Amino acid sequence: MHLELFNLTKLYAPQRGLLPISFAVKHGELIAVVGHNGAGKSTLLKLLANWILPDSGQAVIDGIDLKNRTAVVKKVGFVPEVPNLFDFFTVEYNLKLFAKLFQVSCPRVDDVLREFSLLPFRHTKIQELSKGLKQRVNIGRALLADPPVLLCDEPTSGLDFEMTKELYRLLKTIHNAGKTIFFTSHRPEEIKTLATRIMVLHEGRLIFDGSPPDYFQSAIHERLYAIC
Amino acid sequence: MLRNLLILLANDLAMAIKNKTVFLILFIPFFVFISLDFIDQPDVNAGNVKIGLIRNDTYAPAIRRNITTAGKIITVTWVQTEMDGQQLLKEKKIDGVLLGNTHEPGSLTLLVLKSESLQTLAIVESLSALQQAAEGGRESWITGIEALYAGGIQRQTLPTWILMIVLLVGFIILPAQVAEEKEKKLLLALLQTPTSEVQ
Repeated sequence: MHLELFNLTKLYAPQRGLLPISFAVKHGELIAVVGHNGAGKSTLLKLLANWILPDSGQAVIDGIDLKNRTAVVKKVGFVPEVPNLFDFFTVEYNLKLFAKLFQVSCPRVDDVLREFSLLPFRHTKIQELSKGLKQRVNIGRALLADPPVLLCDEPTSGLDFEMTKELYRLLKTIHNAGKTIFFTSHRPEEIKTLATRIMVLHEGRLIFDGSPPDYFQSAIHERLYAIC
Repeated sequence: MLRNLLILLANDLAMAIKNKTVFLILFIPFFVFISLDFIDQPDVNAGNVKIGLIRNDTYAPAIRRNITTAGKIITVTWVQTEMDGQQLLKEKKIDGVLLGNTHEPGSLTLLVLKSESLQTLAIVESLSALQQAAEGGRESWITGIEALYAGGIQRQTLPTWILMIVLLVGFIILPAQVAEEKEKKLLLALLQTPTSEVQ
């Protein structure tokens, strides 16, 4: 898997959105995209997931332009901040429905239920699940078609400490299984030991792209996240 | 594709029940009946009914005499033909027209605007009372009732009901569903699959 962005831009208003951004991603990286609210983290992930189209620039994954939706959805699994599942249907039915849409076989649903420890909840409606469990189903749904890239937009938003830890463990497991993962976070301290690469976005600009040790030693972290 | 549509429809219906917007539909019959009640009340005047009699019709002499002399409960308007009577009926100048029944001499056919109305009931009651007083417990003069307009008031208001349901769905439930969709982005989730936009 090889992902490359060339001057990808998405502006909602002048100086608001994502200013031209270019970088390349190799297979198996676990990338944390950090930044304040409005920095452009979610915009970047939504562009990569084809939820929104760029104003200019290009993004290519394994030679496929990201504007090609039907081809890209097989390469990229997207987990939005708010779990977008059918609340009134069971976990199993949600996964089966999307499995059919992804054109994957039904045994894959059982695999996902097992991999994400969702077997005890297979007959539970989504609306009856906790936020952490919903997020787990959401990630499972994104991985139904076994895409090489997983994009998670603030996966720990609204989760308590224990649930956050559990979710990061899950991301680590998925990463160890050979997936390339992008995830956004507001709290760089939390992802210190998780990410293999950190990208810092500030006011739509990529101001840091490097390893976690380099980031935590840099003045950028101090400048952006110093409490006083 | 039809299956997908049904699934989305079931989901939307469940959301509408959850949001309780669907219960607003129950207010439609309530609203219709209340408004009809307001409309019907002032028109009811069972004390004096206005009857049209056709000048050249072959009424039984006893019936003609009794009706024309019952001025306190029946006001008689003479018309030339049945068509004139229908015209007055449509203009609501009279409540009903009495026609001589050619098959059963000595009996009448009552022509009214709507058979299921308070005016019809008032005419039948008035004529029955008159017949009872004049002849005792014989068979009723009226042997048939014909209506110019078929169906009751409920059937006539059916288009209004349908219109209200459409408007209610359009103005109340749909924005709620759109808001829910904007928040949850379920359709975007469906578009994250290899299905085409049309599907």
